Amino acid sequence: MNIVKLVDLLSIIKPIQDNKSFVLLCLIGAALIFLVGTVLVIRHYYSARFQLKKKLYQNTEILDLNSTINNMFCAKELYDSLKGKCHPDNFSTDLEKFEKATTIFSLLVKSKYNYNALLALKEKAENELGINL
Amino acid sequence: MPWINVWNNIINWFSERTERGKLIRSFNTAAREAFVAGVAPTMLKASMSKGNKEYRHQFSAWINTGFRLQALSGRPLPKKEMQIIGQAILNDVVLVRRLVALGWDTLEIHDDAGIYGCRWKLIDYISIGGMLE
Repeated sequence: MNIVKLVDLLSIIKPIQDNKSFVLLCLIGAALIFLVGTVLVIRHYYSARFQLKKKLYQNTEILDLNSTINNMFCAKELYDSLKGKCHPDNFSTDLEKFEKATTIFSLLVKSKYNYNALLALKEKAENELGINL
Repeated sequence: MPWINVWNNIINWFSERTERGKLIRSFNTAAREAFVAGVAPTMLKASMSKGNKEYRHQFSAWINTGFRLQALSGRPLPKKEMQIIGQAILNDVVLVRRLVALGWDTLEIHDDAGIYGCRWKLIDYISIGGMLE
């Protein structure tokens, strides 16, 4: 039974192996696919769309991931300390400082998770309100 | 020609995939450096996840639409701490826009010990459509 099967398979394979034009066709097909692929890649690389995208990526703002990490772990502590010190109620006797504290406090709430902005506000509060953190 | 569009879609998919990988790698590097320098008490690890189907938008990628941050804290993080980490990401509009443009639609914060995590729909935090109002 097995011998019969092997013979059957050989009868299929042999004509294919003998057929040199089949191999040639395969080679031509592969060469054509490679050629078309290369042309498409070159075409894409020099296309206006690709160049525009490249230019856009160059001009985009660079992500500052270090400051994002700082925002996660350092902003809360600084915000809490500033929140207590800069609250307008602490300056209810001095009208000028009260207004400044109100402005600083509103900015403080807006930049609750922005460590760099909080640092700038800390400096501003120290200068304008005379607080010491 | 339709085949040009198909070709462009294939190229775009590959380039977006590269950009996604680059963003994850640079985030992990920044998190590792912050942890080593003592800025961050917890090491964060970014990865891609399945995402939430309900949060899909028109720029969502085919697969892996979740941006997952895993906090390697060694203890279950309380919800408040996860929210602080999440809000720090969501308040960085440039980063959120970049995440959305690269095909992510879900932000996930997890810890390494607990069972629960937090999820946000990214498209709600990119501040777009201002001119439409």
